Amino acid sequence: MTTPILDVHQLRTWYPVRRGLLGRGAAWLRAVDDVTFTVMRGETLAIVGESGCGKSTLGRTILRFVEPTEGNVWLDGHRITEMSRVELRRLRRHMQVVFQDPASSLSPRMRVRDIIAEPLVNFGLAGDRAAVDARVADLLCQVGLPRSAAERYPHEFSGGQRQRIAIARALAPEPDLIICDEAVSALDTSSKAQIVNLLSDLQQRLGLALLFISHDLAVVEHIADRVAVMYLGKIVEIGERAALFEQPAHPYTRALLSAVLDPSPARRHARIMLRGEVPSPIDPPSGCRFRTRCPYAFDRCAAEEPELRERPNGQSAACHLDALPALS
Amino acid sequence: MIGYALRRTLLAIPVMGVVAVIVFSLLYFAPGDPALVIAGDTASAEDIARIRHSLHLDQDPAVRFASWVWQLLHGDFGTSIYSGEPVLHLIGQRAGATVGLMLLATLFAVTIGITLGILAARRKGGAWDRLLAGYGTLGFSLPPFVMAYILAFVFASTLHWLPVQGFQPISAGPGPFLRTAILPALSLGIVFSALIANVTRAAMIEAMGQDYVRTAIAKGVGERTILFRHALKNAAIPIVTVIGSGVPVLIGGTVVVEGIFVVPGIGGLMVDAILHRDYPVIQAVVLLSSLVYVLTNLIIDLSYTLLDPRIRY
Repeated sequence: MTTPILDVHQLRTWYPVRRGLLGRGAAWLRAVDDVTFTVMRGETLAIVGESGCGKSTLGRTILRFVEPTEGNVWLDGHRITEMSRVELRRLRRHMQVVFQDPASSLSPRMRVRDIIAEPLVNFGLAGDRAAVDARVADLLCQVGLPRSAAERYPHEFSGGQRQRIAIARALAPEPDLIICDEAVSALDTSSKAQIVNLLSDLQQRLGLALLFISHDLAVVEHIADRVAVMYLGKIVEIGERAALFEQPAHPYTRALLSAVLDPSPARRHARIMLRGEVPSPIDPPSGCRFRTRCPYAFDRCAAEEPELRERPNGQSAACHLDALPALS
Repeated sequence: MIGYALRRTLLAIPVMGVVAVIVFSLLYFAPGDPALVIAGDTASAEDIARIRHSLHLDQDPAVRFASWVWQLLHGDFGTSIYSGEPVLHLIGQRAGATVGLMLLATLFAVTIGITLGILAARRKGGAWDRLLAGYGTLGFSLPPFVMAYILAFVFASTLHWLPVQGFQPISAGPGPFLRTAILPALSLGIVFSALIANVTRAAMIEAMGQDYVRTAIAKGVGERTILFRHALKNAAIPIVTVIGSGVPVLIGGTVVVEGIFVVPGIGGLMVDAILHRDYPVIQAVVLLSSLVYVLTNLIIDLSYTLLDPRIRY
């Protein structure tokens, strides 16, 4: 049980970009740049960061919807980078995905039954038609939808219900890992809470591992076991949720956390405002990528890129400072 | 759905009414007097007046329009001024060839267009995509009559694979019909197929970029199933729409192409009728072409409900 279900090692996804009129592949957009982490069985790792930081590309690269430029991904000990299309298709059974917008991730032309049954048939997981129907009904029940939903089309459901369908579909082949790419971000607050609870419920019952990609720290705090913070294609801090939320070791994490609204006014704290814009991932700053916006940046940050280092309370952060200055 | 179909059909009536008014007033706006054409150069003023009277050209336009519409509603399209035969009979003789040609052209266009469009969309910027870009430009830029001469030159005059003339109707058997109809149908179909291919490519690329296609990959679905079951089904509406909107292009094209390949169809009848100022024939052909177009649009609108379960009327 000590092999991680997902092992991502020095993964890079660079997109070629044109520059000027004729330039071709002259520059690279470093969407994911040297990312390493593992996810254990039954664990939830949240990947957080602002839009454009590469978290969605990371998810897509792991699923190989996008080909990695460098690095490796192992799923349950099988190296999925460098796997042939045919091998990969078989292995996809163990790794599923739930997208942000169920209105576009469920084909509007298919009935719910066919959407959920398709992976069962493809991976040869159900025998005859009756067995498929029974499994579809069972999956619908697991996500809290009535059996009758099977005969209807996705557009007949609300956003939260559609996301339940997407989850039922992802559960169908009994995967070990589900990648949730902003899976609750498009939902209103009450369905968001329901879907998050459904996911953690299912996870505990089925021993699923979740890679939960989100920009919503309030949701992440609720669902994640561990959290990885991304900035400009790199992980700047990764660690146990409690440690990271209590005592962030990277200035970016601290700034992100300060932006979360706490419902209790008594616990509201000073908001750390970051200066400037996110630099372009085509020309990232030298040294530490965060230095252009970091309130504590000093000479070394421009010259030397900080490695992820383990901190006293367990998490790892990529910052030259051993401890962040106290907030005034 | 049935209620919607009925309402749409009823709406076609005023449309056809407007078409009837325009078609009828052609007679008054167009230069040239049919009586003069019939009477010939040597006719006296008296002869011309007699011909005008026998054609009811001396009556009040409103009265003539009313009686024309009344006759139309009884299925009487009048008598050809030139040949003296009932118009409907003339059209009936020639409709088969034109309809056969148009159906074959549509079949070619849809097959070539959708296949090319899918192949191009499969790999954006790939070999098929670049081929389609060239084919699309060529297909758009070359009018059917140029295409007709090129095809006739290559396949008939040079290679002698197919005849240029001697059109055989489908009643003569599928073999002779195909042999003589392939070239005219291709001349019409290639232009049309370029249109369909471009729309198919765009709609497929859009569908392939959707999350439901990524979801399908995650489901372990094979490429063919993704293309046809997931993407093409969702791309169907723009494709069907462009097929429908191509029908008038086809109708216009047949007039020219029939002339080149000597197909005894409606196109030839129309050209002769225009040259002879044979108004009853012109009016009937224009009216029937409009009717075909209105009906095609109706069928396409109704087909949307079959193609997309989200569309309900």
